[in-house]
Amino acid sequence: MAIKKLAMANIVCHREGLDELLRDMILLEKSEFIDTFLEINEGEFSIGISEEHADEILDMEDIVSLKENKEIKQYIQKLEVTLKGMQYTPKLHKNHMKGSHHFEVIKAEIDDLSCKFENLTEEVSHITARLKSLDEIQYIERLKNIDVDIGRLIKMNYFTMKFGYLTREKARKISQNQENIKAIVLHIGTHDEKEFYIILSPKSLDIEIGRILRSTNFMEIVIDESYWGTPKEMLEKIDLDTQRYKERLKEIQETTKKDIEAHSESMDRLYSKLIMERKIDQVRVKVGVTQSFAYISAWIPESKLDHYNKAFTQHQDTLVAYKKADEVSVTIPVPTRIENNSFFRPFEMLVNMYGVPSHDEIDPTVFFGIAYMFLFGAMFGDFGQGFLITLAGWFLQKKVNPQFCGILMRIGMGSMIFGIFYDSFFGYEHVISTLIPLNIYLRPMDNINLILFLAILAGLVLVYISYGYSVVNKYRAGDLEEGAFGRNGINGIVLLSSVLLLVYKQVANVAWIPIFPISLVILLCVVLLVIKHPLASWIQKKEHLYEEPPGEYYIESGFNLFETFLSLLSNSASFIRVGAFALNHVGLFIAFHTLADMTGTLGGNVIMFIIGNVIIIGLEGLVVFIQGLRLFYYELFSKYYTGEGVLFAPDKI
Amino acid sequence: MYKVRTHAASNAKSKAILGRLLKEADYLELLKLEKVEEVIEYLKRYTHYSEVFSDIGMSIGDHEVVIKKYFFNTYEKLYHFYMDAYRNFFKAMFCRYEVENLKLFIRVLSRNEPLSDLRASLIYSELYSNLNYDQLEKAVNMQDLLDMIGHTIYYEPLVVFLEEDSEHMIFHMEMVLDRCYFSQLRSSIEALKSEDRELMLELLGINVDILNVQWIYRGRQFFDISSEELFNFTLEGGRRYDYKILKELCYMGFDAFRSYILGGDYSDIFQDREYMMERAMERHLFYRLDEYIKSTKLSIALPVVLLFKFEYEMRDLFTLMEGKKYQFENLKDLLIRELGRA
Repeated sequence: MAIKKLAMANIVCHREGLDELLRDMILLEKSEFIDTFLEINEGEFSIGISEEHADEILDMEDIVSLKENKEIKQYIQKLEVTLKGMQYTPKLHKNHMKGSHHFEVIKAEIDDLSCKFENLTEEVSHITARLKSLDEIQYIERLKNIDVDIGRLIKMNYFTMKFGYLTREKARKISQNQENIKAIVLHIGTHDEKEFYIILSPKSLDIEIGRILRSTNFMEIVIDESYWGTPKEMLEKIDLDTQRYKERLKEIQETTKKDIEAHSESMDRLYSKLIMERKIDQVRVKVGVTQSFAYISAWIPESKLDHYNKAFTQHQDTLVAYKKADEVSVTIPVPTRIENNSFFRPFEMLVNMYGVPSHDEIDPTVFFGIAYMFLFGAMFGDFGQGFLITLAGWFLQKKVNPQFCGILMRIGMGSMIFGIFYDSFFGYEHVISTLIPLNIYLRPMDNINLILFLAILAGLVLVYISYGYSVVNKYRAGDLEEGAFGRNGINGIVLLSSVLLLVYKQVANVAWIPIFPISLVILLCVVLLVIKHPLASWIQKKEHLYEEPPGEYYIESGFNLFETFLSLLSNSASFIRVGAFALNHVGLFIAFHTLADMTGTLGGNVIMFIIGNVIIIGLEGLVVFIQGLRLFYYELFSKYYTGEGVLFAPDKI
Repeated sequence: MYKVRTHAASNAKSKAILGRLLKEADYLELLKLEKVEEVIEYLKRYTHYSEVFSDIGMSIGDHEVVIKKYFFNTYEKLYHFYMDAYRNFFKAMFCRYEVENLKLFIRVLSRNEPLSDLRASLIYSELYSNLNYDQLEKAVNMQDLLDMIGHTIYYEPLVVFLEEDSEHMIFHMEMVLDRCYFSQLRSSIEALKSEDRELMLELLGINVDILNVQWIYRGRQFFDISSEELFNFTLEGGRRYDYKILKELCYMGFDAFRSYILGGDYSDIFQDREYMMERAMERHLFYRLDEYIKSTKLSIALPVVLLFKFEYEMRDLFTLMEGKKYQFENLKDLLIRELGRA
């Protein structure tokens, strides 16, 4: 079975050994920690009660939770900044995470490392800042034909000269009010939405002009004294320095490269440890502690208990008590651990898209996987195109979502198998039958009615299997009302079967099926459907037969009855689309084939063949993919599958 | 077709909520009551607030919090009806609360009062705020406050005024914050579909006009800001006053300015007492809103009008509750709506 059982482990250990224990559990990658206080507050946290555990039990009175260590985040940031400055992307290695380590030691090492490279990173940021400011004064280029020393202009005694830029909107504001502004405003160029200006005003108006400029968000660019000169000289200096800085930057990069090579392992080690420390800290906030003990609650797969027991024995004085999922308080949701074999695993994605099964539900993945391949294959049966889909899944699995590619490969195979039976190879019929002359072929276009009939028949088989699942699920949940008398329970199966028998009698004109008893059964089913709630309450000896006023209940169940019959019809008829798409698939190719014939040339034929196949695989493949999902979600899952579970998410790196 | 797709759901929802808002008769009843408890009881029994007020153990402060939450839930509901550019527009509208709160912070800090008492009077949505109010209320001076908002769009335009004397600083900072909000809102409106864009630009234009008038008035009356500066700060895109008129207004004598405004569309702003100017502006806007519902079908106007009206209702209720608590006289005059207006 695909849903694996989980056990709740209640663990008590010495407080000083807590981090190591958590680390070992995280490295085992199979435990999901929950907030211990959820259990303690419910009085559910269990330690074997005996005299030797007296300390652990007595101590529980002063239990508190641990706070998050914010320093860890800061240090991760610090390390990442340093590593980014060195242009090194650290790698995570599990081996580095093992063994004892303390955050204080890691902190010291990171401080060391960042100190060591601080000068370098500082120089890099200094140079980049310089390069940026040099880039900003490049606009001086516009003034290169003026033969005046800019320094002398800046140093003037009675006038102030400022360089800077404005946004376009503010520049407009200035020009709209130019007659009132007591300054010379000289536009020198535009760059990146910025308007560059030189502002010249008398020194006596400095305060006033300063205010006005500030109200326009004027960003002044201060030109370093060392660059002063005529614009031509300035540009030469700027070019020279830019060149120099760039070379220095390159030099630094080369030295760091060597350093990185020498230090890469220790940096990886440090980073791995720190990430582990963060994970431990995330788990630690869920733990309860006292002066000397720590109390942990975690979900662990029952099948892995041995692994964990072995790990626990390495930590002295650790007490562990296990509980089964149904012994845990109902206020704590039991997560669902799904484990399917590798063939069906990709289909979990599509099942989870509808909802995660609850821990006591049957996992529908295997049924879904087989039936989905079947439905896709039946609707899109073509050996060649199926092969291409499989191939695409295989090639893309490393680059795109591997689960989705897994599904592509499998439904492609479904398509190939049906392609053989439909005798269809890239749309061409009779190719396969010529190569393998057997009497197994069923070409859709030659057997339209049979194909449609088979589609409904297959649909009915799927519907019956769903009913089976539904009954088992309802039985497990102890839901007598729906399981026995509901429309998706045993009553539903009997009703559907009786109706089908009647229909069969009418269609095939069979004499041996008696009408009266079957009608009686249908009537009984209908009555049961109407009175299912009071009946189930009566059998289970509940206090109230109805949970709402009886009048309302019967009106509701009357409408329900109407819907039940409607959905019996629509559920079964819905599967006719499987046959219809099988026909449509051939039909679409015939259309392209005709187009190809109309072109009359070999080139045209080949082009039409390629275009046709691309469109069929792309467009029809997508439609069929969605239709298959739709059939499952609406016709089948809605019968028996609630999907209200929470996925088991083990704490791991 | 896009109108139905974009607006049908939100307009239906807005209309439904708009119909539930308090009527004039409710205000008249509320004014008659004596205690805050009675106000709350009335709201609980006869109005749409019955949905959100629970029976047990809520203080007056709790009720205010619940009303604010209710308001922002409505905001978020409408937000979720929309996509892309329209969502951005709603987000930009959320900025107004940030800006108003920051203005409040700046005023309080300049008076050297602590920010921690302000929390209850802030109106903000936790969901779409760029500000961390828990952190902000710990600021003890302007530098602190600016450091804390260093990551937001408000930082750069504000920081240049840090060195100014405190009075000018407040004036400038408030103005710059309004600018920030309006320029964001404007660019989000530019991305809307043409009809909605026109509608919102018009509403924005009225807002811009009123705000410009207010800034010029305050700048001249209280802060002695130079005309050049005032003009640079005025917002573009006003409905009645383009840059030429604004420039004239900035350079006019104070009395001439006053009489110019009194002779125009926005005369009601100056008809009230001086310290009630902001209220008068809101009142002006409040009564303009109805025009927008009447003139359009299926547009962004209805949700926007709803949000404005709902907010004004909420603020009137807070005024009422506060007024009852401290036994104010003439509470009626403090409300945004004008009771008995034809």
